[in-house]
Amino acid sequence: MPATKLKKKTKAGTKTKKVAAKKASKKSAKKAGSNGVLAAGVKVLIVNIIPRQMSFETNNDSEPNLDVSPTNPLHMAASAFTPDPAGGPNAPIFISRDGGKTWTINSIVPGGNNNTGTGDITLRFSRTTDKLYAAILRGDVPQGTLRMNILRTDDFASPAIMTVLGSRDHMDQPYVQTMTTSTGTAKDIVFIGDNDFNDRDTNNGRTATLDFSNNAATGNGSFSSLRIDPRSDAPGVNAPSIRAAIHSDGTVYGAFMHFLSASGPNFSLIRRDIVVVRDDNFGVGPNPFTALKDPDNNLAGRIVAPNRLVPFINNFFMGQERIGSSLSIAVDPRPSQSSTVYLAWADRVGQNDYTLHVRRSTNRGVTWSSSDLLTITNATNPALAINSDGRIGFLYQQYTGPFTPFQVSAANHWETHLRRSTDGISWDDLILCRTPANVPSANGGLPYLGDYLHLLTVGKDFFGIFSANNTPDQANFPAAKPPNGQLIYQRNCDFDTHKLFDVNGTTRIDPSIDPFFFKVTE
Amino acid sequence: MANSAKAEELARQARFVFNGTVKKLKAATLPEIKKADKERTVVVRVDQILQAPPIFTNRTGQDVTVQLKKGEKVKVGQQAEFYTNSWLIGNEGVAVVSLGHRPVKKADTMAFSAALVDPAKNLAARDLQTHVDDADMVCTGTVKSVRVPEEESDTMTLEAGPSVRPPLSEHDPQWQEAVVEIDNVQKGTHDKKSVVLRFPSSKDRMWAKAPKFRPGQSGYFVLHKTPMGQDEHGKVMAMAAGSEGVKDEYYTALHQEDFQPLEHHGPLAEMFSATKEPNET
Repeated sequence: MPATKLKKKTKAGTKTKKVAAKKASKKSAKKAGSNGVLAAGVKVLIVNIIPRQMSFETNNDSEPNLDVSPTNPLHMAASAFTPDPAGGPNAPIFISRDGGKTWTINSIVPGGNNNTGTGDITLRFSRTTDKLYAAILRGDVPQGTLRMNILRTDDFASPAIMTVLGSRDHMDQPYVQTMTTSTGTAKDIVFIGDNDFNDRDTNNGRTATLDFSNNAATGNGSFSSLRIDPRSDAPGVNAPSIRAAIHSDGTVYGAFMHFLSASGPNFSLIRRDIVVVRDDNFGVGPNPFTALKDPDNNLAGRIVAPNRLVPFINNFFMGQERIGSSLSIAVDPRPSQSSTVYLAWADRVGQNDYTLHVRRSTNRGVTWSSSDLLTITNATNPALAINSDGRIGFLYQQYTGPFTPFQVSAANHWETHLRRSTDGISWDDLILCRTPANVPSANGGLPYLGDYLHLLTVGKDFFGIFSANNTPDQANFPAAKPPNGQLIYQRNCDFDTHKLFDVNGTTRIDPSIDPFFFKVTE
Repeated sequence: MANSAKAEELARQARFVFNGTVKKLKAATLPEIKKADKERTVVVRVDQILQAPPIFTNRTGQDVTVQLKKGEKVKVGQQAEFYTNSWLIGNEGVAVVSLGHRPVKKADTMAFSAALVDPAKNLAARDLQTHVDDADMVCTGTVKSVRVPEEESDTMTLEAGPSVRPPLSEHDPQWQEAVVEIDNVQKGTHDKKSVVLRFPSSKDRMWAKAPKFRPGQSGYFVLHKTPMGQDEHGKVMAMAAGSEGVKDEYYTALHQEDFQPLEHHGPLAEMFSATKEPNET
């Protein structure tokens, strides 16, 4: 009986969506045409990736990450703060083998706990095989140990637990990227941006680090570790976000936020330089990551934006989200285009805001656009990616409505935008998701939506993942409106009543934060 | 005896234990499992659940995919007690990996005497027992005060001033101490009337579900000794055992089950009331 009822509900929801789609399609197309939001022929797929058999869950599945296998774009892997639903000792990843339309849980990440799964997790496929790499903070060690593991599996769908390639304590926010060489024998190049607190004083607070391997598919990968900030950070440290962008020609950019000073309540008002370093040979050779010098002091690392106020507020500051370290960098992947690199970060420009900035360099990071290409007020989670046509994509989540620090109401929403541009000047705007910011309450702790999300490209297509309130309401996903859009919920729900249901199809389930996969196709 | 020991070992490692009937060999219930992956998978009907996490408790009568371990063999129609852990959870069903199976007729039902009543409770009780077994002390008592660790507040006084200790990480636990006046010690030994435990006050996901203590709270405290030290700036840190810089061990309560209010009459109350000495009140 529950299955039958569920089927009816699913059908009803589909039918409603189709009717609504017919009514909305002309309006949507007209709106898109009038403001240039949607380019002709663009199709949008958004999928709530919680499997139907997990319809009972109300976990805060925040801070999502995603990759698409370049060798088989139907293969995808995603992660979030999701514990093993069976309470086992390993954390899960989400896997898809049909291009993101359906997703399954596979608990193969060692070191999970029953609260968040891992402490942090990001994942990337090899660029030449289906091997999957991950960088995590283990969840099963004494909390505070901050034990980073670098992981690998040959088969992301098998039940075999991922192999630990490396392990180090006192680390934070490992963010993995992969590449392969464009010439010679293909090897897996893996870079992990991380914040290394070991020997902090010895290193004068220079915690921004890249762990990297130029042959990660073999053995334990023989990872090297390199601190990339040459300036003293003491008595502070670099901000948690350390990011790498890799080009197949050997160019690797690294971005971090250098500490200058701190003041205010709990020393939360931190001033930082926004810095980019570069290496031209995958980090191999003498003096790695010193190719880019700042003209003011001739030290490695170009200061793109000096002396910025970057508040670090580990509390429900913006709606129910914390702020403190938002950073993304992307290089043009086309042959001979590694000179073009985009950077996004967040800082404060007024009294209480948290503002995203996007800038660009076309000469390998030597000089940067003097003003923002885009400025987004009260927003977080920036993610940049460039497609095979050189089109830049910018994914972020903006807090809208009346803004009062540490307060949230029904008038506030979280909007997830994908902006795209061919020239960095004119940007379109796809609102992927718009949901109330006060539901659910942040009982699961911080981050609410995540300290990061992810955007990537395969060919011309943009793929990404974000976390949001999971209320099943087609209106919450403007870019997924038919006929050019499609919204898929795997978990049991009713789009007419905007309600979620348990696996039995009848028991009500409260809204929570879920990860949403999306694909934007031209 | 040997069989019984084997059953107990399998039961200790497995989270989902059930009696089932093998329906198909080299087959799967999930479309995500491709043909090449079906060499060791079989479809099994769940006849009776003995131990299960909540996600598996309503599977009686349903087919599940079981990936047999290397060398493990079953036949169509065979009934067996399967000891498994979760593998895939999808839209159409679930798949589990087998740790081993035993003939139903030889199964040691002693290990699952309560399972026939509630398989989920059975597993939850096992998990709680393991957690308590790992604890260094379990007591009942009342939180009398909450404070910043002394060495951290000392450091702040000595080094007070701007830019001295900017935040390092979003995962900073922000340790605090709770002084608990002890009523009874249920496990371990403690010869003082009170105990100091450390807990994270942070809202970060890593710490959010750890109990947050305030004066006046009464209940069961499940305490674990945790090595701690201080970083270069005097900030209190949990450390791996044996790490350089470990100054002492402190009682901590980090798991969400490490505190259960007396008025909830929760599983800990049930566990310890069942083992209470006759002359205890």
